[in-house]
Amino acid sequence: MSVLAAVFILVAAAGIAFAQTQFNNAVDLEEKGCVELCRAVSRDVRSCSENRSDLDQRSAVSAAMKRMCGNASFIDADGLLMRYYYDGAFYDEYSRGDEIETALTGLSENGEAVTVFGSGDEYYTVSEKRTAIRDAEFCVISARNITAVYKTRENAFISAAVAASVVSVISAAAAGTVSFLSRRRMVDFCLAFENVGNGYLNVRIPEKGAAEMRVAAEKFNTAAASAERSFKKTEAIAEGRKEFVDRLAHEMKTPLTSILCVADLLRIRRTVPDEERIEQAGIIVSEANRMKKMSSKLLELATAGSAELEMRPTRVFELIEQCAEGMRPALTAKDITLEIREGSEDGIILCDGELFKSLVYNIVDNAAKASEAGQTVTLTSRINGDNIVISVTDKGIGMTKDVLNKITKPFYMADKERSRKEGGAGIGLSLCVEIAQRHGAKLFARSKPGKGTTVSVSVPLYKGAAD
Amino acid sequence: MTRILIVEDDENIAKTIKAAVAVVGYEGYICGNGLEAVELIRREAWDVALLDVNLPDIDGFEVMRRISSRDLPVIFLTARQNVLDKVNGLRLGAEDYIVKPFEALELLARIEVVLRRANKLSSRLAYGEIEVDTASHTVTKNGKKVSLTPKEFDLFVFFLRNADVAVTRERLLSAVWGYEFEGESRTVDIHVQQVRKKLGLYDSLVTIPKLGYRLEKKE
Repeated sequence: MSVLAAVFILVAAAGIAFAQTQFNNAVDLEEKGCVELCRAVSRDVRSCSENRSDLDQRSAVSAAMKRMCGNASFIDADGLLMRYYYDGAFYDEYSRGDEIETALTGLSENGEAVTVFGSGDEYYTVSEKRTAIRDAEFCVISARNITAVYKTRENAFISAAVAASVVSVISAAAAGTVSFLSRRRMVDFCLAFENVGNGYLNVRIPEKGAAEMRVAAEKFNTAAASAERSFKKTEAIAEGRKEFVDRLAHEMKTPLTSILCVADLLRIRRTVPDEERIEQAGIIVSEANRMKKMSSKLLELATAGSAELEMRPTRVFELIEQCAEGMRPALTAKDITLEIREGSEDGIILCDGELFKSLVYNIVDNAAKASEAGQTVTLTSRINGDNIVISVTDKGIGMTKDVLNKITKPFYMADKERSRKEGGAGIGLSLCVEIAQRHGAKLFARSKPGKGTTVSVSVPLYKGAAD
Repeated sequence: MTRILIVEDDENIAKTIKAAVAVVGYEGYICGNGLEAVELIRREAWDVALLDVNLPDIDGFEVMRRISSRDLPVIFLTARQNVLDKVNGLRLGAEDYIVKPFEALELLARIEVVLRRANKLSSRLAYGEIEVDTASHTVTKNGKKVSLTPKEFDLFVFFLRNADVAVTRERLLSAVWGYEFEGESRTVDIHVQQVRKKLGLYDSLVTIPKLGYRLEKKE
């Protein structure tokens, strides 16, 4: 029994010591980052307030700080907290509660980071940098929330204890036969468990030694690998979503800038000549329309991803004929001919009619946008093994390879100027990809600058009978 | 005349900015891409450049790098809102950084600050029989000195530079007091009343209901 206790203590101690080292390193890193950020911002505030006249210097410092930290006390996880001093008076524009106050009283004379325990289980590291610019003194304070680092250590301690119990029980059972060397391997196990607990999912245990050890190592490795895979997948999805939201925010701001600025102009001017009023209100109307179009496309995109599909066997000819009919008036208005190529092949696919037509509409619409008056857009369908390929070909401006690689990204526009004039929102092809995916179909594009573009969608043929 | 180069690829935003700067009498010139902007800056004389960060060819930061030898005040316009971007822009030597979307008067106020810093604004302003010298901080009416407090002085100068434009209390607060002064728009009202009284502007410094104040241009 004393052996069991000794193993437990040994393993637990190793785990805890390891977790503590990891923790110290992490905190060091955070503190360094905090001090560096503080210094960098301080330098920049200083540099943009130099070479100003005395009269403007105070407002320059104030403005520079405001520009860099906005109106919020914390911009993000690594947010900045700003304060400045003038003539001995102390202005605190961005108050950040008691925990920061406590941290500040613990700061050394100038600049060192400290870690503090604040209210509500929050931990911060805080750094301060004071600089004098002529008669005024200002001070930049950066703070980082490092609660996550503390949480990780806590979890590591728990898993060390759990791992130690597991290891001591196993080693007690095997005590007679397991050599000292195998016990060393138990420590390997323990460290591996801890690493996983710390979020390092790429840890693996060498699969060697006694049979039961090998099996245990194998099991551990499989579990860790699967956890790593699913984590990476989640991460990629989150990354994609973040990118989408970033782009969306950016796309919304462009029309909003025109609207806000022009509306403000119309509001503040005493008199506005008719001509200018018409032009400026016109800008508001056209930009608002752009936002309207974008919001309806976004709604379509959201629906395409989540709506219940009504899958029915449908003849491809029926689909493309309906699309051609629906699109022809709009294309004719621009003097563009839309035709279905002679000798196209028919086939039956399983699809949601409305959604699939919207896929073809979007591709034809893109082709029309790329075309000049007098040109032709051609629809083709052709059987290729188990699939049927529907293609839309234009003889328009075409794209380089570089552009071709980016076209399905949300909000990407190959030619911004042209696309906006045509009323594009940059969402069409993302929508097509989404719809194609839901039909088990694939999208392809071939293009040559100046020669035109062909976008094809390859759909599996339906094996059963049509309605 | 103050010449402003507007480097912005979105046509409507560019047009809007041009209209906005025209309100206070600046001449705006629109340019839609970075390389052309570099050329224009090298070839012609400008007072301020408004530089969009996202341009179709080279980005605004790159334009800034290429023209760094010129002594041209630059204000960045951008839809990106992160701290590092701001620091980056200012580190390259930009005078200011304005995040889209923005109001017309906010942009004008920023341009004015930059012009003043670069000493490109006249220090002498006149309004009827009132004369102002921003260098010596003096105001005279019919040749007689009028004593204004520093804030009253700044307020009056702001109205003068934005004559015939209706200004909200919030805008005045941030332009004259320099920071968000929430819930204290009474401060503005009191100062405006003082300016009105001291300079006898009862008919021309008018209150616009639900909006703010406007100093009406002398015919």
